[in-house]
Amino acid sequence: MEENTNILIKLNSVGKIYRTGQIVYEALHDVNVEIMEGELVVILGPSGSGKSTLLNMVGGLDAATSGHIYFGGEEITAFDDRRLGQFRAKDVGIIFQFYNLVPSLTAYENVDLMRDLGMDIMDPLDALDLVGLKSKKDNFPSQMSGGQQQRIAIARAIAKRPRLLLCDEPTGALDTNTGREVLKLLQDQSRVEGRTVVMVTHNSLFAEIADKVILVKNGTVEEVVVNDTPKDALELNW
Amino acid sequence: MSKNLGIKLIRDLKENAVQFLAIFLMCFFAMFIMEALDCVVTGLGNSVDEYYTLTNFMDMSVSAARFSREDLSLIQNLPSVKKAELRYTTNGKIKINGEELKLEFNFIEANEISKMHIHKGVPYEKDRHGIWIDRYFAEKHGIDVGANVSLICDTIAFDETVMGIMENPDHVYFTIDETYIEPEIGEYGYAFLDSGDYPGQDLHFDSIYIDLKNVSNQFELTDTDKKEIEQAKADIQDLFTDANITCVSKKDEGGHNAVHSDIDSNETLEIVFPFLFISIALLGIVSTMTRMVLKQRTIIGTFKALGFSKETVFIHYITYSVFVCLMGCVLGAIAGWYSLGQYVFDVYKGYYCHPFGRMELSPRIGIITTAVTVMSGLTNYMSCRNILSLRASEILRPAPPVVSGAGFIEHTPIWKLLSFASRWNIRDINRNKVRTLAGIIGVTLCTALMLTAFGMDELNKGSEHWKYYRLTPADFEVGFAPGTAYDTVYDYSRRFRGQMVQKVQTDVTKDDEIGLYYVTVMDEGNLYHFQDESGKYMELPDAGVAVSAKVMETMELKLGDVISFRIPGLRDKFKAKIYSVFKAPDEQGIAMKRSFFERINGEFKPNTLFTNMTVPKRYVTEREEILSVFSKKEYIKALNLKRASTDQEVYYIMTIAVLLGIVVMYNLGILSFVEKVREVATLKVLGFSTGSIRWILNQQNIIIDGLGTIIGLVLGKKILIFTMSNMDYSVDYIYNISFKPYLFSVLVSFVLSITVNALISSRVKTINMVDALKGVE
Repeated sequence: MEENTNILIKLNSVGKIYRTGQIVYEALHDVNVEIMEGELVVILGPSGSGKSTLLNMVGGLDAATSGHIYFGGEEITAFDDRRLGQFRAKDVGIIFQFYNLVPSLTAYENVDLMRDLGMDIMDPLDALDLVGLKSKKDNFPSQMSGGQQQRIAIARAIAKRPRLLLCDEPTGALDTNTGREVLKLLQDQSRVEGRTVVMVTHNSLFAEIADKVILVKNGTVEEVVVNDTPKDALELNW
Repeated sequence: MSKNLGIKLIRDLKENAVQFLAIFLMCFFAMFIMEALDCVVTGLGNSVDEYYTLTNFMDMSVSAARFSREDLSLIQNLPSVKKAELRYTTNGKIKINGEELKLEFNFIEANEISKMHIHKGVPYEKDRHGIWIDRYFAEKHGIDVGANVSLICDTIAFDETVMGIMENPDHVYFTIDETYIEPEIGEYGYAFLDSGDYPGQDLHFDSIYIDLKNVSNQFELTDTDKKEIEQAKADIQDLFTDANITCVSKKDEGGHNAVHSDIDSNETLEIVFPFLFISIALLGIVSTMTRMVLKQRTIIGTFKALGFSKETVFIHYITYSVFVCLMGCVLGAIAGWYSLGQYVFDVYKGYYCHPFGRMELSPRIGIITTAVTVMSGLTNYMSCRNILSLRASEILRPAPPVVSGAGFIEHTPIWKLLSFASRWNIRDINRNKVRTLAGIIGVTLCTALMLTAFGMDELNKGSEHWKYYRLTPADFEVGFAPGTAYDTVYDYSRRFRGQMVQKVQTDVTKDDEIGLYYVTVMDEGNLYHFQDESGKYMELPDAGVAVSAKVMETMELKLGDVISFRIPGLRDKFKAKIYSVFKAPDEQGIAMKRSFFERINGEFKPNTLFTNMTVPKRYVTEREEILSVFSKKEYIKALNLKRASTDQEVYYIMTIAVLLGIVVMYNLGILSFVEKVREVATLKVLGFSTGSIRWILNQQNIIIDGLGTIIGLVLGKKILIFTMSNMDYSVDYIYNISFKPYLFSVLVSFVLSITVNALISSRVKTINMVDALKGVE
């Protein structure tokens, strides 16, 4: 596809070191990756491999210790905290493993919260409709199942029409059926909406629905596999 | 703040209602007390100030048996004097519906100093016939302009037409004679007439009212004003060395003095208690917000991850305490105005007469509200600062556990001897130093607050017993008219087996320090005692004077200093060495034995007699030499009336202190327990019984509450002494409070906190181990 030839994200020799007192831990080392516009990318690796760190740096949630990260041609590693915040607000939608909804806001209000960022977002009801939860608009997170909460989190992320959707173990806390529905929603964001989706998982099965799979191990990118025939999410079974 | 964050804020406030209610109540009560007292004193101070300025209130007055026009000229020619006016004041009667009521007559030649404030009718003019009657008296008895009134002055009956209904600034606090201890507005009155209307043959002016050039008319006197007045006083005394004159400066005038004293008392209360309340509120904010921010760590991380700026998140979290504090302050101020403030104002209206009396909102309330709100925001900022300075990814990760043991004690042999409960508690305290400190400070402040409130109540109530049972246990006090011969008083003392006392208010001087105080000369007897600063009875010195502790402090005197004083009627000043210090509940000054006074060539002229025998009240009207007869009961009744507003204020403060104590203890208890839920659940999972876990928790509570209570009692005593000694410079106390205030304070703080914590720890039984361990990161 024409748009897939456009590089949205580029990582050049990215490294990340954590220091706690005397202890130094290298979470990532010399990562070089390119992600195209509209791609569904799965970052795959075991626990502690550095995949979440990689996702955090792509989304501007964390800073690289070395190397450069580019988003749409702009170097986000050169951004200050304020500019990074603006970048996340405008271009990035984030979906967490444990949903991270605001418990004291209803489903509608959690989505509408994005308007508070000063964004011209889609009608929260339309966003909820997209994830099939319009009828739950007045429910608080505690009144919904895990799957429903994750779908609300997706609605929140897509409501501001970001160019990039980052998902950290989005099905980690869900059962298979619910997880499959969530994956379908995310795949549709890429296929139908043309949005770049980057998903972190330790489940190797998810690689089957991705356009590109980045295998991370011990803080390094071991392999980048391009999948020419990704499966439909609903076909997955685990 | 944006809409959805606003909604979140309101719902979070609801969810943490108890904690925020505690903060709200503390701000509410702080401003309640502050505004209740402030609106009254601000209104009182400003209205009297306005009144004095408008009427050119006198800077000083001089009184003597008689003043001539030449005397007036002498004073007028002094360089510091701007104007001076003669006045003759005497008590007489006015007939109303066949009844004779007391009326103070003031005959004047001019009315430019302490001018009448005309309410109705025409203003005073030289040689204008008629009478100007005080408004409160006229209103009570239905006297209006144009009415013809029958009067008796200096035993001469005459009629006058009412030319005006007025108020006069010299009569803000007005008792017509010694038969009244406190003002009874409308029961008696005062009137002004032109000197030409004096019904007798020979008018003897007995006072001169003076307006000084460099003294402002305002209520508050500057240091320069005070110096000017003292200089003028000295100049006038030099002019009349042969005459018996008494100078009264503006600050010692009855109304000015009473208003100033009430303002001072209320201002002290207005500072001490709100300060304590606000300190507790700020502590509550730190505890509540620290816990809330920790609890919402993931949400904060999410906000940052979603792209909310640090400032937006800061503002959101700071708004919690700012909103609650602001609401508390504003609603507290409104409630204070309409309840206690209105009550105190009504009490003041019962004894102050001035035309502009009002309650007033002072800028300081706005300033304090803003300061409290800003402080709460800053306190809150400190709670959020650390977490918000982290990157979004760091915030989203669970906070690393605090790695800390029990400190040095862990390396001593004692450690091995300690039980598991003790070890757990020592480690927990060491790991959570801020929480422990907050707990101790909370209990300390609550205990101090309660001891101050209960102690104030006891000291106030105790002053009645102290004065009328311990110091002057006599059942009756008889006042003699000025000039009554010694033999006459002596005869009464024999007849009524009483003790004679000479008590005068006069200037007491030490170098440049000068003050108007009581000089008491005691004859022998057992009806008038003195106590030292520890409350022990003491004898007056044989070879010098004793000085009240308050005067010692105010004039910065020390034992061995030589002071001088003047006795009205005598030309020369007396000098005496200070040999001892006594405590006096009121009427601060110096006291000496008659024998000493006579040894320094003083003439003992008793004007008061204390006796346990009943003295008939009718003597006041029947006998010229007797001015007043008061029983102990009457004094106590008057004292209680005078104390009514202070008592009411103290009751409010005590109630609020107890309520606050309960709220703060509960709040601290809940916060502390919630922070320990995970450890408690872990202990339960490991198999510890509910009882042993509760004992572990209660052991820590006993240590914290016990420490806080002990420190609070010490601090409370200090605050109590500070408060009471700054309330009114003419009032003093012996600060030996009984065990009761201590007991009540300990009951409310220590026992209450232990009870509250015991109740909270009973939740251990029903704690959901799975949820507790899952819910905490």
